[in-house]
Amino acid sequence: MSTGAPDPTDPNPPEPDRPVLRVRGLAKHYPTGGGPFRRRGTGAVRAVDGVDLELHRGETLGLVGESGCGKSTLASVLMGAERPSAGTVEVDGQDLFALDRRQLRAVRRRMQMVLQDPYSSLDPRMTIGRIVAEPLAIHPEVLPRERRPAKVAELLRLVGLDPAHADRYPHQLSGGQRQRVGIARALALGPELLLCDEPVSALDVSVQAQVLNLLADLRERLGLACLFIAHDLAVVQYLCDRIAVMYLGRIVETGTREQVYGSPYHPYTRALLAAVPVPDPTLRGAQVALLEGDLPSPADPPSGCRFRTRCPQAQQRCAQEEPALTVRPGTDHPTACHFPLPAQVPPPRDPATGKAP
Amino acid sequence: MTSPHPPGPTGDLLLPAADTDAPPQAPPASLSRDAWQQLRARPVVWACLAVIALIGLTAAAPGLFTALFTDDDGRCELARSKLGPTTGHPFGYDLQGCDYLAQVVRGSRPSLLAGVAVTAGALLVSVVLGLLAGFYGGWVDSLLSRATEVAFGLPFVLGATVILVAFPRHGLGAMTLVLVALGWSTMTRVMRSQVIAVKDADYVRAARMTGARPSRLMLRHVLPNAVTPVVVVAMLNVGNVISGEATLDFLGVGLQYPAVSWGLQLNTAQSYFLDHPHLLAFPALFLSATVLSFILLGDAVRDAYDPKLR
Amino acid sequence: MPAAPPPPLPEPPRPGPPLLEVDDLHVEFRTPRGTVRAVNGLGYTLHAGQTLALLGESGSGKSVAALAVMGLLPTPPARITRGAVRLHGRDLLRLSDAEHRKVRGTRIAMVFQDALSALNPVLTVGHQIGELFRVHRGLGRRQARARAVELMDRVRIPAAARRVDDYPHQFSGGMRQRVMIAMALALDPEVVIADEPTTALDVTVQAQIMRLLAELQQETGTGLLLITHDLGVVASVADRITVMYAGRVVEESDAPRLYAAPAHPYTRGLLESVPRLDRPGRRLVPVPGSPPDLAHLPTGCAFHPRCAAARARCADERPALLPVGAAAEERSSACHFTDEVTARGGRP
Ligand SMILES: Nc1ncnc2c1ncn2[C@@H]1O[C@H](COP(=O)(O)OP(=O)(O)OP(=O)(O)O)[C@@H](O)[C@H]1O
Ligand SMILES: Nc1ncnc2c1ncn2[C@@H]1O[C@H](COP(=O)(O)OP(=O)(O)O)[C@@H](O)[C@H]1O
Ligand code: SF4
Ligand code: SF4
Ligand SMILES: [Mg+2]
Ligand SMILES: [Mg+2]
Repeated sequence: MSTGAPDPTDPNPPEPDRPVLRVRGLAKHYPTGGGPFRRRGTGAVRAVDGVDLELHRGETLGLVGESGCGKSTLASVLMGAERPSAGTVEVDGQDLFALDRRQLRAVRRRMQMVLQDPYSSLDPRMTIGRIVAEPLAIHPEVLPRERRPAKVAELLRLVGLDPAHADRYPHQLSGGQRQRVGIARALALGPELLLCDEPVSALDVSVQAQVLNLLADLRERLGLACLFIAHDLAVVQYLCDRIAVMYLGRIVETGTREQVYGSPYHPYTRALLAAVPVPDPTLRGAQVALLEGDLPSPADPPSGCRFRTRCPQAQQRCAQEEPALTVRPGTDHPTACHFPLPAQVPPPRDPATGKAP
Repeated sequence: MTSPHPPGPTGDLLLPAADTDAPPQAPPASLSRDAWQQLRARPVVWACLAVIALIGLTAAAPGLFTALFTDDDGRCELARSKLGPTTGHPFGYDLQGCDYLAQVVRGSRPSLLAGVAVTAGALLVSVVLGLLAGFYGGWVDSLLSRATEVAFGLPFVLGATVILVAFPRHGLGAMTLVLVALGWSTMTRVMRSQVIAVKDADYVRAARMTGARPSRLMLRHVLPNAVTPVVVVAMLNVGNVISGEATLDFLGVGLQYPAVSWGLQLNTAQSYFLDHPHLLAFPALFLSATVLSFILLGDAVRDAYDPKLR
Repeated sequence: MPAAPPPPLPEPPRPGPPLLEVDDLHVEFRTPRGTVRAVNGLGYTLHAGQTLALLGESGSGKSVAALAVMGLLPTPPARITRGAVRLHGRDLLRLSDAEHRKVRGTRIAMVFQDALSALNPVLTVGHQIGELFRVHRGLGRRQARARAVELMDRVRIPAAARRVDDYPHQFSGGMRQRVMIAMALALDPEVVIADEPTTALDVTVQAQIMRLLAELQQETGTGLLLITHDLGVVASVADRITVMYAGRVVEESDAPRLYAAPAHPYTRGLLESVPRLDRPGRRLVPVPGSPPDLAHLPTGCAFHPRCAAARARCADERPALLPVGAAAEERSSACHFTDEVTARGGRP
């Protein structure tokens, strides 16, 4: 279990500034190889392995990491779709996994999710109108039946779609339009908390920009708290107030946007930043060091610091001792690295103006 | 904390252009519509449908055909036993000296009834069991899967023979039940694997995370998206059941005289085949045409629903 | 942001001789729901040792054009109604199937977007790479395997000698794409076409693959045609850029000039859609709307329903692809109002 978590035995004290979402020591392990002819519990894929997060009202938290580091698993546990192996998820102070069925339904109205793949996340046999109305049908107490069509039209307009699209089927829409439908569905119940699992990764850049702008605007207008999952730090920077960087089931660095982008201390965060393409050919040749190799298997994570197999700064101590996620001397936000990098490189310059932004 | 970018006019944020642009203007397409378009273009589909419609009509209104094509008055005279085709009696006479066309036409009803009723029954059983097993997994699945495997292991004709011999006094209803009991396993397996593929689809996850109950997930999302392949298998199955039913009649364990069916007619014909080939030829022709039509139609529907074959 | 003085741009590099020329290519699909005009007069020239990026949104006909060059279009429903694809001046579209297959194996190779479905799941990776040597070079099993290991090394797959007997599903997405690249390079082709080689991958792996492609291109001197929808991804590798919209070229230019000042409103839209780390706080200005239905192309300039600079003329008259700037720049753009667009640094 990761250290640095607030004492989890604390009995839910009344707080003035209680976060909408609080995650403590969350872990999700999938047992492997437990078939009928093998001994049970031979091992486990540690998809999420000790994550602490907090999300406040009206705030957008970006969760960044490579493919397979456990982002989607974390999201589905947060949505209550899977039970965690350890740890707690609190929504507005209520422990999600201690609720009975009725309370859980009530909480679900307040948190909704936008899925990654706009092609598979809409039922191909339902019209757009029925898809957007489905959350209202599942929670019939929210709105009487006769007022639902008007609400669907309003939602479609809100996400920039023509209400006339309500009669169409998903395959008749483009990828960007489908993702708008997914967003409209997530907004149907008027949630306070929106989880977006890579909502733009499957879209072309031009459409991606449309959807990012839409999310930015909706978040502002509706005062949503938003957990935004992505693998691209440039996309996250565009939308998020705070950032958490995830590696192999753990958070390795977290801070405000200015902190993380201005002075990334963790070598992994640096590597992610270096991987973001810069659309400027004049910067060619300024070759940055890229991350080598693949993510290790979460079934058998490296000892000590999980990043050490790919870390250019790795030293002896890294293999033996697991670095905690804490603020270290000389740093201003938490990192999980024994040897945080100095806040050296000036932030990338705007090549057009030559001025640092 | 402020937004990471300067606020822009809301109008341009919401991108009105996204809906003024032309979404695909072509007529709405769906897999079913495409499949139907493809089916419509194939002559073999129409031929099969024509044969099935004709046989269906003979089963529904046998008198109509008797009146149209024969001078039959419903009387049988042993004196005319096994006579070949003559004018007014195009199929000749059977063993009892009855008009053979009238007999063959009457024989279509049990075949069709068995084919359709058995398939419908097996379809219902397999959709329900497959849905439950695939959706819930765990012990429900283990239990149902073992049961399916046992049923799958029973040979269709042999199993039916054994059961029907054990209970000699049975009609079409009992036979249908026996055939359903032996025929549900294949479709259940297809349904179960379809449900497993569909139940983890993102759109089902999305509904689940909104708080939808299992019944809603199963009926609204999983069933409509999983059922097509099973229906195709069922169509192919109709032909098999018809030939299975005829086989049982032929073997003497299915319907018994005085019932009339193609299988029984073939059974009778076997002793006289060399001297009176018409006794064999006409029911065999009707039986083969019916079975073949169902199988070809099922094949065509399967091809039409398989996007990979387009 | 104040208008910056244009930074000095390097001279466009002297290109080698033309290697692959695509000229006025038209491809259409006859479908029950109408004729889909996927490629409508596409043309580009790839020179030896050059990297050409073919840029466009999803559905703009990039893959169809690449498949036409490879001779891999499904016919029917596809039909090449006009145009030529010349390799060293020889028109590939006139070749017989057998001849085309030979060219395809040895002189032009392709890297597909979806590496998992392009590899056979039941054969080892080593077998699939080695097969190229067995079929085209007549090598024996052992030699072919040795060459496979060599190639996997070259595309920087760690522990290649051990992994050569693994199956595709045992590789990560990035490693599978490396295998695809190894297979493309196996027979030393003159042209490599990479169709969105990194679209399914995350940024870290994308950066690795782009760097690998650039390094291999330097080593081998092949002509590389890089198909993508993301101007950010190709900035570090492309020499020239051809921007496609609705199956037609709307702008072509050498890379630095295009990024510094796009001449076509669509190119500008694509550029402003890329979120940039080096310009935090800047608002994204996406191209509104979605790509046109290729079965019902808009009249005039196909881009006019989405173009912020469009005027009445744009809906009636199709703009020709005409040179812009100094002749030496070899840029062209298909817009009635190119001059005004370039004068404003690409802003309408
Ligand atoms: N049901 C499961 N059983 C076993 N392992 C699983 C299961 N679900 C996820 N995993 C494993 O957990 C790890 C994290 O997966 P997850 O889908 O959360 O990654 P991700 O960060 O969302 O990646 P991506 O960017 O590709 O979506 C992976 O190694 C994955 O293989
Ligand atoms: N086999 C096919 N049948 C009908 N239309 C096709 C087929 N393949 C591609 N198309 C159409 O051709 C157009 C261009 O597709 P493509 O070249 O794949 O786009 P992209 O630029 O994304 O690579 C699309 O409208 C697509 O629907
Ligand atoms: S703890 Fe060691 S291995 Fe881990 S990131 Fe820091 S320097 Fe690298
Ligand atoms: S021709 Fe008109 S519509 Fe087309 S790009 Fe130029 S300004 Fe826009
Ligand atoms: Mg994921
Ligand atoms: Mg493509």
